[in-house]
Formats: sequence, C-alpha cells, structure tokens
Amino acid sequence: MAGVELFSHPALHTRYRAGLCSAAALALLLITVLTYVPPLLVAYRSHGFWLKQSTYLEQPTVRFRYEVLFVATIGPGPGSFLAWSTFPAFNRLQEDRLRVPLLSTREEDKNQDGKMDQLHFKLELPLQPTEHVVGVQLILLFSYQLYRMSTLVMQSMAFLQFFSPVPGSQLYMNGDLKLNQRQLLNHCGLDTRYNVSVVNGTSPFASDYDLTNIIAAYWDRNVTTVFSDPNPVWMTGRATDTPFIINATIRYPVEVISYPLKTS
Amino acid sequence: MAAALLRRGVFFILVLLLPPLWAAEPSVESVPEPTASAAGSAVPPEIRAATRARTRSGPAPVTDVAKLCVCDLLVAQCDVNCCCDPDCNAADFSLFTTCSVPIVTGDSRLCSQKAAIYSLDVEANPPERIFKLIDQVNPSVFCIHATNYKQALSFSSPEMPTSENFDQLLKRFSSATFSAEPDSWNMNTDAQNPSDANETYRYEYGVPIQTADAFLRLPSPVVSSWCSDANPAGFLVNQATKCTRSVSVENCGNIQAVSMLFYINSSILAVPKSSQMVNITVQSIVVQSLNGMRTLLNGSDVLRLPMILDELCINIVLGVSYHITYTGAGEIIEAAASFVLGAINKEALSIQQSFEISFTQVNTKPVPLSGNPGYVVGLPIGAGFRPQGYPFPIEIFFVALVLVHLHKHFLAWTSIKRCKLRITAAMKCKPLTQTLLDLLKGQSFPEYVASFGNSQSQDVLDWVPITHFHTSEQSSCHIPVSLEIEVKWTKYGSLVNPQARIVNVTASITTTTLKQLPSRRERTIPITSSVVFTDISSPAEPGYKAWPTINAKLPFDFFFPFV
Repeated sequence: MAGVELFSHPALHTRYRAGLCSAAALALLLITVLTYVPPLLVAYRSHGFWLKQSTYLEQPTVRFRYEVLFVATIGPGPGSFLAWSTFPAFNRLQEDRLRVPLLSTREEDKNQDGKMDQLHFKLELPLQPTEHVVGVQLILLFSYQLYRMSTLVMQSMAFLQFFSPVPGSQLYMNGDLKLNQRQLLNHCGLDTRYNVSVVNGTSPFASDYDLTNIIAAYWDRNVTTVFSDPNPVWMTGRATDTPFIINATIRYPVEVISYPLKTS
Repeated sequence: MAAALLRRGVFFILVLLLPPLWAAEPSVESVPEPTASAAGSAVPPEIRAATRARTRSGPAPVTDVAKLCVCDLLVAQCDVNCCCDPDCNAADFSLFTTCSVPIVTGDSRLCSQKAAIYSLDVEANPPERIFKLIDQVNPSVFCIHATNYKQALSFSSPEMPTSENFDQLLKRFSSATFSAEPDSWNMNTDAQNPSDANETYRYEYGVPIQTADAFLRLPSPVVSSWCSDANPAGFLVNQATKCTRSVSVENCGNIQAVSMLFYINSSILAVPKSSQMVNITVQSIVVQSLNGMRTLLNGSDVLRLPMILDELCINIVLGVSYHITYTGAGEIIEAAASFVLGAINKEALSIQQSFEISFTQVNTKPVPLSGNPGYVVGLPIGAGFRPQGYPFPIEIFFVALVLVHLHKHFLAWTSIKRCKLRITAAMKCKPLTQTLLDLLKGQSFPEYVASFGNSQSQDVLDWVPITHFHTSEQSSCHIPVSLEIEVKWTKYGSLVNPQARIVNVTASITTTTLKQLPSRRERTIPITSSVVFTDISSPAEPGYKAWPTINAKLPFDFFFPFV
C-alpha cells in the first residue's frame, strides 16, 4: 500500500505511516506548503528583507511647457545682446534689446507608448547685417512626471548654453534631459514639492529673471533635470540676410530612480 | 501535435493578455463601434461560429504588404531606388543601385506573416529587380497564432469631436502651447481685480512704486551686466544693483541715463492710483574725480547736467541712492536721491553705475543688527571702543556699534587683500611706519568686538577684547607690512538652532626691517592684510556622555513573609 511515513525514530523503533488519501498526509502536505510559500510571499511583498534602498527604471512623462527664455550675445565688440522669452514681464525689461524669434517645436512619441520621447526645437533669430551671434543661452521649461512608485510632479529646466570666439550661423544640440537626484524619492505618495515654476514669470522685477538667480534657485532643489549634450555643434559662416538658427533635439530617456524601501 | 497544443495554450494566454496591453486605445466612453461582442450578440449563432472559425485561422493583415510602398512619393513617376514603386519599369530598375525599402513586413508578433522582399540582381546585365512575396515564420514561442480582437493590432479610430464631448476631449488631449495672447502692457498689478472706487489704496510689500507715467526706475542688470532701465523698484524691497552702461564723450549730453534729470524728473505717487505726487528731492551730490577722489558738494540742490569740458565729459551719474520715507499706512511721504557724479575721458567706452534704494518708516531710526542673537553669515561684525575714564563698571558703555570698515569683516568669509608699496631712498622711517599703520589698521582701530550679532553696548560681558601681537625684528627701522586678524568663533546654544558667537579675536602685525637704500634705488614691498575665521566648535557626535543607569527599587515588602 502506498503511503507516507509520518514519523520515525530509530532509537524508539517506532514508525508512523498513513495512507496517501488520509487526513494526516493532507496535514503533512499543508505544513510543507506553509513552510515554504508564506516566507516567499513575505519576501516578495516586502521587496527584500535587508535592503535600505533600491532602484527602478521608468521613462518619465515629460511635456514641453512652451516656456522659453532666450538670450543671444551679439559680438564681436563689447556689444550687447538680444533677448526674448515667453514671459511678458521679461520682454518688457528688455526694451530695445527685444528681438522676437521664429520658433517651431515638435514633440514625438516614437514607440507609441503614450509618452513623449523627444522634442525637436528650432529657433530662428532674425539679425541685422551688422549683428553677429557669438553666444547663446536658452532656457526651456518642462513638466516632468514620474508615476511608478511615488508620483513625482515637478517643473524642470533644460539650460542650453554655448559661447564661441567666432560668430556663428547655426547651433546644433542633441542630448538627453537627465534626472538629477540628490535625495531618494519616496516609495509612495504624491510629491509636488517642486511643482513650481522655475522662472517666476509674473514678477515685474529684473532680479527674478537674472540667470544667476534662476540657476541658483534651481540648483537648490534636490530633484532637478539637467540637459547634457557633450557635443554641441557650432556652425560658422552666416549670410548677412539669413537668421541665426538653433536646432536642438532633447531626448527624454528612461531613468534609473533610487528610492528607499519601506522600513516596516 | 504537442507543439500545436502548446501553441493553443499560448493563444489563450495571449488573448487574456492582449486587452490590458491595448487598454489605452478602446476607451469605454468612446462612440460605440462594431466591436466583437456587439456584433456577436446581434448575429445568429451559426454565423457567429463561422466568424469564430475564421478568426481562429489567423488575423487577416490590415495592410497588404505587397501594395504598401512608403517610398513611392511621386505620382505617376518612378521614384529613384524605390523598388516597390509600380510606376517603375525594367529600364528604371536597371539604373537603381540599391532598394531603399528592401523589405515590407506585417506585424512581427504574428506567428506567420507575409513579407514582400525587394532586391536588385546586380549580376544580371542590365540589373533587374527581384520581387518575392514570402511567408515569414516567427520562431518565438510567444507569437500570436490567432486573435479574436482584430482592432488590437491596429490603431483605433479616434473619437469624433461633437458639440457634447468637445470640452472633454480638449481637456484630455490638450497640452501647453505658446501663448498667443498679446502682452498686457498695462502694468497695474491690481487692475485685474476691479475693486470699489472708494477703497483706500496703499502700497504693499513688493508692489512696484508708481510714478505719474510708469514706475520708479531702478536700473538693473538683466541676463547680462548691461543696464535695463525698465526694472521697477518694489515697495519696501531694499535693493542695490550695479550695471554697466556704454557711454562716449562725444554724445554724453544725449545719453539720458547718465543725466541726473533722468532719475528725478518723474514724481512718485503717494499711494497707487492717486493724484497726490511726491517729488524726488536731491539730498546730496558727491563728485568723483577721474582718479577716484570724492568730494561732497555744498549747496546740493542744484541740477548738474552732463557736459563736455576739455575732452572730458563731466557730471555723469555714477551712482544713485534713493531714500524713501513711508508711513505705517503704506503711503510714501518723502523721496530723496543722493548722487555720485563723475567724469569720463575719451578712452572710456562704458561705465559702471550703482543704484540703491532704501526705505525708512517715518519717525524711526533703524539700527541694524548683524544677527539675533548669533551672527549671520555675510553680515558685518560689530566693534567699538571703551570711552576714556569710566568710573564704575555699571556705567560702561561703548561707542555705538562701529563697524570695522577697514575690511568689512564679514562673518565666515575668509578674505585677503594685497597691495604693493614702492619705497624710495628719500623716505624716512618714522612717517612711513605711521602711514603704513594707518593704512593697515585704519584711523580708529576698535578695541572690542561684539561676541553676538545683537550685543548691546551696556552688556559688558558680551564684548571680546582684541588681542594684539607684534612680531618684529630688532633693528633700527622696522615697518609694518601685514595685518592678520584671526577671529575664532564657535557655535553656541542648542544643536537645533546653533548661533555663531565670537570668542577670541587677535590682530597681529608683522614688521620687516627697512634697510637704508642707496640713492635713486627703489624697492617694492607687498603690504598684506587678511582676515581668517576659524570655527573652533566641536562637532556634534552621537554617543553617551552620561551612561543610562537603572533606577529600579524593589518594593519594601518584596520578601514579605520571610523578612
């Protein structure tokens, strides 16, 4: 008869056996299952026992906010600059240095997952024949969202800057908008600490549009984005009647995000 | 057989998995389209069985791969290197070098998909196109063998906007755009909320100060160092700005921004939107010569306009300092401006202008503190003297908080200043020593330093004496060359709110021997002064200063029946 041995001890010369379809065999099976399965479930649900922090991958939901602040340094003499932004108060401060460029942007979702993958940005700055662009500073504002663990909603910035000793006709930049994380993100909940505008566009004061103040306030934040383009291409040789062109492709890559584990 | 069974099993799993994968497209509230369930409930059972049999046989391709040709962009003309273009004939193909679209396939997740392969036979003469239509077999175990939901493999048709769902669709799909609204050049901040006509207006913190035409201008650098004149001054916002202005001697009379008139000609409104004007009065005029010497003009209330004088342009505004007096009700009652006027010569292309605005409440005399109680980083250190002949300690008082303006010692900013002194043989030792000491220590070097930012002159214990050290070489003439001030400070108070407190200040002067120089020889010696701030507080460390003890006593009747 097929059966299971429930208990045996050689010193006592006793063996307890039961049939396969008995309650004792069922209890043995149940105990075996309970020995192995619940610890596995506990280990799975607690995301590991001893880890203090961990990482996950997520592609952020990034949308261009269509807010731009643009400064072009005009050379070669101890000249001035041209500026424009989508903030009316900033434009008002520029007086005769205001020059409105032609902008065209396009956001593209390449893999059809509902999240934008890159931004094509083109800016054409009309220039007088005597004006030459030797440097460009450009701030693009984005809304940046993460959903997988904690919901992070923030407004972030891409700062594009290039200066050249020779006047240029075109600047081509192509890079990633990377998340810069100085602290761990929460493992759950809603994080709207940084859902404030990077540039205070309603203020009439010049100090709120000073690039040093904007950058200083931005880098006080613990979670920021940074535009990294190791290879900007500065093209020279501009015809006198053509505009200065900035071509930028800003990609929104999948990010590795660190988060603390629940200390439960 | 087993493989077929396995594949059938896989199919069921996939059918279960597919709807969540594509859940984004068929939305619940979309316009009813002929979905499988709606069609199935309406048609007779035998037709339903037939449809099921057809769907099991594999999904029909949505687009015919043999006809799909993305490179065919010219109508009724042959596109170069486009092997699938039906307009091309054999003669055209003989000119091609490659096929720009070599393969057109269907959905790669299907187990079996049609593929149109285009290639060129370059061996043949003339080269000819080879077209093959094959069935590709997907080797993956998790391929789609059959599907009962065909829409899952193609884009769902979008919801048509109607008058009912337009707002909802707009909310769902709209995102940020470039604002095409014209700028509101009306700069009144409270124009947006129309309020009662009889409401009393007043200035609040940060509200731009209005003048008859626009705002009180406080030129300020924006994004570069050049001045922008459109920056308004905010009420109660003390500001100091410095910016660069391009000038030239030839047209210095025409540049508005270097003329005094530009800064005082508009009257300030006492409260916003009122007709009561406050004129800006000229409080003082300081004239700075070309080498930086400053003299205060007597009879200041005169307007001095820029003019050309001997290839110089004089009376150019180098600095403006506004002082606004206000009442507690937010009304400006007085506005005064102090000017620094200078001159430029032909070489100057640009000047630096500094602007300042400060606010004082009427009938008050604000005394600034450098911290309360501990010092704040970046603020000046209080220092002072003990007056001569004090009889009792209780009456000790210090000359008001004199700031050490020799260096402007700012807490925690270690700084060093250097200059060079050229010594000629004609210089005498004694006056030179005195001049250098005056240069290094200033006219009145303080004796005491306040240990806290808010130390009052009557609190004797709050004042730390400055210890002086002289390191000198024994010789007939030694001149001081460096002054080093070392400030030792510590963090004071609780760990949560540490306060900076100065505990010790030393001033050491190093001297060097001045040897008699031969006549008509020069020697240059560097003169250095430096301030060093040293934090001598010990860091907060975790641990037990006093170990915890067990304070447990047994009740007195613990051993009751026995003792």
